[in-house]
Amino acid sequence: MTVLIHLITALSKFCGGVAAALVLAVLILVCDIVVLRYLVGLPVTWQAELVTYLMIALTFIASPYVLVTRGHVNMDVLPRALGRAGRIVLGVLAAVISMGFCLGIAWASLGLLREAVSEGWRSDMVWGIGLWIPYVALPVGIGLLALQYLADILGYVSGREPSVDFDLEGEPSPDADGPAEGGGAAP
Amino acid sequence: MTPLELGAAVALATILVLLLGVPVAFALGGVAIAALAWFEGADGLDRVADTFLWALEDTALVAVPLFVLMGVAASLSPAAGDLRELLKRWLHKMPGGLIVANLGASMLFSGLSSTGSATCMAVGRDGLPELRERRYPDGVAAGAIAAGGTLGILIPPSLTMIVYGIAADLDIGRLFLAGLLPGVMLTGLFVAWSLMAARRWRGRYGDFARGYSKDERWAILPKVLPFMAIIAGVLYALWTGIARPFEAAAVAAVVCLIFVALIYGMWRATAQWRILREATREAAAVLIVIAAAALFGHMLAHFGVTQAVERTVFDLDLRGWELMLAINLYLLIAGLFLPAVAVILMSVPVLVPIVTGAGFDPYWFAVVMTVNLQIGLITPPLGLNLYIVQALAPDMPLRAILKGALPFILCIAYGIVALYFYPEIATWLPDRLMGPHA
Repeated sequence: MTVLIHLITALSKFCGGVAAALVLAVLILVCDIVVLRYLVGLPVTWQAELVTYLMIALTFIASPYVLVTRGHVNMDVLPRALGRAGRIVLGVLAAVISMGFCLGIAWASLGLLREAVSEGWRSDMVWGIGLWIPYVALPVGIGLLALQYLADILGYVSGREPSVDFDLEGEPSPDADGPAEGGGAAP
Repeated sequence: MTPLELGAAVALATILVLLLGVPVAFALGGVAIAALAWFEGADGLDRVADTFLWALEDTALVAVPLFVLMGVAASLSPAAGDLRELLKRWLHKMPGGLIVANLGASMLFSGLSSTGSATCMAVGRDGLPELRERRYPDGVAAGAIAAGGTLGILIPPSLTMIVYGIAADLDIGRLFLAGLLPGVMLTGLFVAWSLMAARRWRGRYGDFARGYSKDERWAILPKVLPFMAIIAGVLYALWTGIARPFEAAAVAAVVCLIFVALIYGMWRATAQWRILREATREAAAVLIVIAAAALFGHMLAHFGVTQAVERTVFDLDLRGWELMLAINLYLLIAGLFLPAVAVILMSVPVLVPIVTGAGFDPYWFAVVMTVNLQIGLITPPLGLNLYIVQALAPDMPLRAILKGALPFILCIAYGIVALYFYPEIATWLPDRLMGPHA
């Protein structure tokens, strides 16, 4: 079980790296747009479209990493007010609800992907450049997010409460899979 | 079930799910999917995936990760500390200068960071311990750091303004300019309250540890001015319209990365990669909330809730201050539970037509809305800045932080009233620089 949790966590962190590379790609592409438009004076055609798709992709690909580093905005008033047992119950409940959403979206996006393939995105010019990027990123990213939620639930069940700490230095919390915090100590 | 009843049921369900601790994005998305599946069966889910996916298909949104990147580069560097240091050195003779320096640093740093929590963290990291050490009352110190952080969503560049501009189809550069003076005004109100409160508490202000010589005052300026130049550059580019917001954001991010490398030696690949990863984390968290809010809005419109609310408000025939009071109460409540970008995305399609129909300026309204949503950053249950302050001062009970933040909430409310009576606070600068808008 621990191995599985570690494996999924490692995968989610890898997603963070991929998404960060996508941010870098977005940055470079927009700079390319700026140079082309203002310095060279060439019209910008496909770059703006591609940059938007990359941004969409990075949002979904990053989402499991955001979960592992507890970056998704949420309210923890109730979990903080409860003891350890209550926190675990709420944690599992919240993870199940979130996973339900992820599975719903991932399932629906597979349908969308299938439709896109069968209508042939490559042959049709209207589909433009790189349209497959967001279509693939949505099921992959949200699917891995569901997997990370599964790891969280396994963690709760096996008594390894995922840490809700965030590091004051802004460093993503490395101990998301670390030992559980005892008591109701607030970060 | 009438659409209004359904809307109430959905709102209640959303609040319950949020209170469980489900992330905002998945709570909004989950409730939307559940409602569609419940009332429409599998057919209701047809458009779920593409609504969620294509909500982000707007080139203007590319400015979000890029401005976040600039803010993260600045906040992972000692820039915020140096801003505080600069103001401290210049204000060290002023009674209460230390708290003024912290609020001023929050205001200036808000120009580098586009979110409230980043500002709060960057300034409070050293600011809060120092204020407490220099014997400022805990509540005032905590409140000032939390409230100063809320300026991040108002002072340009601001993610909320970008989202407002996209949702209402307005000029983002003009929105940025509209937020500038109100941000300065709020800082002034915060300063006024802090000085009053600190004085009443002990009869005098906490002193500086020492004075600063003239040389010391000037020595720190070269470190800080480059960052201020970035802010000025972004505003200039958007004001003159020579660049679109996402282009200005990219250039600003690159320049900011270069500056932290040159000024603070953060040129190593590991340092830059860390900035990139942290920016990815923060930007993705905002973007996925935007996508989910769009899905939620799609669900509300699908069941006719949006239209019913619009009709009801229209039938009430509220005018002038009554309308604004009603809208502000709604925003206050929504802001308690949802982050600003989500509230804006879901409310703008309904509110902006009503507000402009009643003769108000949509740019002015963007400022009123954002200022109102600042309150949500320092009120529970969401209260992002409260928890950051608590993390910065773990020995301070949440109750004390809340009590300290309360007067600052009143300052913000006072700011909203001032904006109502003097809309020029928001509209004068953009009108002056860009000419009256059509």
